[in-house]
Amino acid sequence: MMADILTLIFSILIYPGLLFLFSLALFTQYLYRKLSAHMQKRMGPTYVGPKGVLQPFYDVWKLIHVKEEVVTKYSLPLIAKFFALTGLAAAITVTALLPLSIYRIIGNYDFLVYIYLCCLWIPLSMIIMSLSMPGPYTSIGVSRILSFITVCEPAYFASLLVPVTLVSKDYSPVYSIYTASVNIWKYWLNPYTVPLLILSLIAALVILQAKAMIPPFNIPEAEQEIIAGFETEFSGPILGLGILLHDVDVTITILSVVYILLGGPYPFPHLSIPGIVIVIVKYLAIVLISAVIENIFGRYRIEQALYIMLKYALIPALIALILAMIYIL
Amino acid sequence: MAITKIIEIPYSLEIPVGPQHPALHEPLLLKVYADGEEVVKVEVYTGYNHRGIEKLAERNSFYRDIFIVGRVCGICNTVHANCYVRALEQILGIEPNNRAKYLRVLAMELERIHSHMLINAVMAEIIGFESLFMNIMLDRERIMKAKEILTGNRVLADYMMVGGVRRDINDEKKNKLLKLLNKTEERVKYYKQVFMEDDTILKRLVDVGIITKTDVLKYSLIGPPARASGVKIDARASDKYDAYDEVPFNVVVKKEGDSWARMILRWDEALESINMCKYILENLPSDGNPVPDEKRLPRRFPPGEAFTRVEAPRGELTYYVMSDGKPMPYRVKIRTPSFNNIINTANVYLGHSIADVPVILVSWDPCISCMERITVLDLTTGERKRMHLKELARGGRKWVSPRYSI
Repeated sequence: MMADILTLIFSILIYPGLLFLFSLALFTQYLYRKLSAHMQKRMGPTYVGPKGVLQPFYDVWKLIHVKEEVVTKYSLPLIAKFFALTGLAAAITVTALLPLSIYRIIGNYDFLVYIYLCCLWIPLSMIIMSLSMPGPYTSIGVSRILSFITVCEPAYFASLLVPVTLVSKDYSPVYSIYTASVNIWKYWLNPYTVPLLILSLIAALVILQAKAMIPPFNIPEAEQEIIAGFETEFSGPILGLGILLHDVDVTITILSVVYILLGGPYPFPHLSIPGIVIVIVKYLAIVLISAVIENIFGRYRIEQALYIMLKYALIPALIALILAMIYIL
Repeated sequence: MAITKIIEIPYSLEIPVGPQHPALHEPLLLKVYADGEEVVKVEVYTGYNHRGIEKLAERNSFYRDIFIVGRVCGICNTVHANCYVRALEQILGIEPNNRAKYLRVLAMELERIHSHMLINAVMAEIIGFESLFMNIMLDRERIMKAKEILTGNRVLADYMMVGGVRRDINDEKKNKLLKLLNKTEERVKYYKQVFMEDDTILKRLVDVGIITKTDVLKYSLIGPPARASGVKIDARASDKYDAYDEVPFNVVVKKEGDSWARMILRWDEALESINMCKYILENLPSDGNPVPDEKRLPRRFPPGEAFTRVEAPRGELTYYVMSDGKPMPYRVKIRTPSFNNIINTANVYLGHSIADVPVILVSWDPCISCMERITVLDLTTGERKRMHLKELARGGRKWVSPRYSI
């Protein structure tokens, strides 16, 4: 019993909770910045830490500890901070559902809990944070996020539901992330299910760009149009928490693709050299693809982006889901 | 019961674009009123960068003013200096030799290439295409290097002087310039292709900010925005100043009239300018030293006036210089192309989305520092008043002889 509690605390605070997740999120931000810089013939972060690897950590630390909080008459900074922490808490809770965790929560339909936390609480926290610090650009940014959510989150849900549905046919607990992650590699070898998984992978990669708000879908925070969109009025600690929440959201999305769609380290266990290498390669490959997409596109207008998401994410994901349903019948 | 009355409640959001805004590299305020994402009204406010250059020019000698007018705009400083210097030459009755004229055109065309590359890069950045922005800016460095080889400076050239230019070039420099131009030509062709084929660029620029030929003439637009709407207007072709009568070139014209046409036209013009530069380097006349002896230049200017115009990268730039026989000009009047192009185009934004506002603005190639005019603010009454051209011409004086006013 005591050991269980200690494992739970360790998994929440250190691995894969607070410390690991935040470190991975900020390292992912560093990877994006460095890869983009390389593609744009710049140097990227170089100053803090070896090869600039600590730059994102320093940025967040500086915002939280040094920078002052600028508030307007209508700002509610406490509410903004509260919801930033709520979003981060939701993200940390989600890690317990992934096979990455040492304190695994496994059960029937735990996938729905994951979607509830990931697709509802994180975006909702961002929106409420933004509305707590209002301004003209903020309202446009929030309205753009809300438009995005209508297409982006259903497509994300549908694309991840494909592997979960396929695996639930043969293995239990049903609709569980752990079961899907452990067994999905078998379905990548099955010629009938590979096309479905490829379709949902394409959808997931498009959605990753949209959820991470990077080109061609960086519309809610389009710098040249609406300053920083929903983040415009953030400053000091709130901006630091906002950046952290955004990075954590990106990381969780990438991890979900790596584990649920691509099967994590399996068939090798986590604590083996091939297992670790496979997970790291898959994670880096997705970051690389995302960074390449970021650098070969400009930014669409909102209606164009919604159409693109509908065409390349929601429809492929739904087709794959319908075919998966037919397959399991 | 039939409905007899409908009350419409207009909802619009006021979004300030500028004066400090990431979309603009210079201070200008566009007050954009939007209904949702649709722009319903735009007001253009200038006045954040007024430096009183015209007045400054009246307080300094004719020769010092060459450097002052070169600072009106960083990007098109050579054309400003050229226009002013040619006005002085008209007053003095001096004609530079052919080699000097060719070198002047070379400097101005290099400036046109890098200016057009810059604004295309900015357009790429405005639509969020950062990698394209970085790459164009990197290739633009070659032209900056070429300008440095020719004039001695990357940006502010200070190349023009009365009766010629400040530096001559030798064969070694000529070869270096040709090499740089050949490399740049390759890249410019590639970027033009990118602008013609890339999905996001086409989606964001095509059919955005269309201005018809009639509107161009109605609102007196000039330069690339006019040429992109099918109006063949180019001071180089109509005035044939300096060596433009001898250097062959085409006036590029497009018919579409949208933001995309304006940007493609700039790539075409950049290619045309590269060809002109190559022609100049290969056919540079040797009819004497293009660098006049500064000590032998006339110290006194006879009374008289001159009106000159050049085709700056952004359109027709005009200078009016008046001398009353004193060491300092009586009046220097500058009319820059951005002044026409930005202030007269507020109606083009209407009906587009907020995302299109920066795109349309950048497609005019705004040069804010060129176009500043003043608003007088009476601190006691709080009254704001725009000064008319006539009042500006009086230089703040209450009355001036009609002979000297415009």
